Amino acid sequence: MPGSQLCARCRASLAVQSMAFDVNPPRASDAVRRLPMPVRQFWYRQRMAVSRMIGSLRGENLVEVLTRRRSIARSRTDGAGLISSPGDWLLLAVPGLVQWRYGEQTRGKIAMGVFAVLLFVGVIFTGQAIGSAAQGLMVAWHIACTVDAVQRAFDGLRDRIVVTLFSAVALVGLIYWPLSSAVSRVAMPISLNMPLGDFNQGDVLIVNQIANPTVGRLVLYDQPVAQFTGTYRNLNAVYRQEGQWIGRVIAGPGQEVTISEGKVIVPADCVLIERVGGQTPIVEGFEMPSPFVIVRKSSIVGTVYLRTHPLHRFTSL
Amino acid sequence: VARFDKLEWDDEDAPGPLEPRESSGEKDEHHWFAMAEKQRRDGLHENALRFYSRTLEVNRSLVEAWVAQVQMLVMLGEYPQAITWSQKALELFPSHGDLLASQAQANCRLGDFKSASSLSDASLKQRGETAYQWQVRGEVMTATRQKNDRHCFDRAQILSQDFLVPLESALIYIYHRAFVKAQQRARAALDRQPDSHFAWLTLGRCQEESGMTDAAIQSYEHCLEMHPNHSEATQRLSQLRQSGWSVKQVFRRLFTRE
Repeated sequence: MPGSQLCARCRASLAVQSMAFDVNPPRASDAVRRLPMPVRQFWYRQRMAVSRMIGSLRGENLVEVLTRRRSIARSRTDGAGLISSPGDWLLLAVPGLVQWRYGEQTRGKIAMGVFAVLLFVGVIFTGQAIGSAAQGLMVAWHIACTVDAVQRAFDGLRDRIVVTLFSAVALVGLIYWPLSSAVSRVAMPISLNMPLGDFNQGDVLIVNQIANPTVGRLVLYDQPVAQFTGTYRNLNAVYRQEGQWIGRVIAGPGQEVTISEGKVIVPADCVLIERVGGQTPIVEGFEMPSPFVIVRKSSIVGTVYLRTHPLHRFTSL
Repeated sequence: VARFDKLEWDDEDAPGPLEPRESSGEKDEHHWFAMAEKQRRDGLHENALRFYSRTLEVNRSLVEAWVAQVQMLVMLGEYPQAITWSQKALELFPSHGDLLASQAQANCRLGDFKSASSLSDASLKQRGETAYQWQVRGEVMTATRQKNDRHCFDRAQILSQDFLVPLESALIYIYHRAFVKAQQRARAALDRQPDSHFAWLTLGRCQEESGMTDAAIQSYEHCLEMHPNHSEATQRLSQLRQSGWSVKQVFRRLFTRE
């Protein structure tokens, strides 16, 4: 129709030429355009997922929405949670596996993915603050995933608190406590609080507590208490050496060793150890009498077999 | 007979709506559109986007320029902006098939396959199918690992004889890391336009990503014969010539997606 602003057939604007609007498209910010394409795409996808979620909630009462979702989830499982058979309890050992099995694939993927990331960080940075934090978060995440699967059958707040506590105790008692005890027997991390020979302060070493300390291996041992005299800032002082140290086993029980100070026969149930760092004075003004020490086998904590930190010096020892 | 005076007949001698006209010396929308198309065929999407905008400054009713703007934003990896712009264009040209397809493409790149599929369906339901609509349909199928993507891209090539259709199909496959299929499309583009340096560059990229180093070097050399100062081809060529054997290349060759 003459004078009409819209096409009667397709509803397209017939006044585009006379309308006032910008014809230059919006552009991404410089910072975003500098990002590599995969990173940029990941950023866009996350942003879109969040905005979609917010968009779906817009105009609705958040509490009502969450309640409705909860009731939908509960009706889907007939009030029995996600656990429907005795075998499902075993699936709880892996976070997200139950959710995965019962059709909540996205939830299951997120649960497993986060757990895997925390596990990876916890293993790589074991013995450091970040590793400990990751391990703690990993356990907490596992508990949260278990609670998510189990608690749907419970309505009241008190019931849910009980379920959460029970889940935490069960997971820690049945999985993490036995597992950490077993692992720490063969892989106990220690962090050096002072430089020793080739090792720097802060290096993380892994100790196997059940391996036999054979000749040539590095060991962590309890240092017999020893005192040395010397001067410190022009004052007479006593240096007391104790605690755990690292050394290399030179000879086993009954073996005879000739060293510069003379001949040594290692007593039964003892080993001769050369301290790492040798005679290097630990405190200026003191001289260590000898790098060699005879230690009872029972004083050996374990063999040191791996340096895991810093990562660029990751070595088998 | 006077009633039929206003009827429109195809005039084969007259230039098409977007073909550059001989006349005038004045830079009209046809001039800017032709400039944009040239830049696009050379793979300079940023410049092409600017020229499409210049086209629209002169004539805002050119829906082809609106579609091309969205396509360039997608090529430049600015997907949210592409969606915003396609929505704006759809307000002016509701239910335009190519605009719906362009929005579907941006949604697909953002991983929203559900919206992408429904928009692609809607675009194909509009009157008059175009190559771009089928390309987007093919991209959605590629992204969702369906098997009929080849048919869609073939259909696009039948609908348009322009070498840009198989070439941009190759770029779509490259984006989804299906380098073998991309190589086939790039070769189809070269069959139609053997002197396109951008097509040779695209073919070289596909070959390089597939681990076919010697073939990639040849393709880059062809590209440089036609465009001696092409910076990307020069850079890729020197990288290929300097690189020796690498595990990455072997794995690429073994696990390249068909």
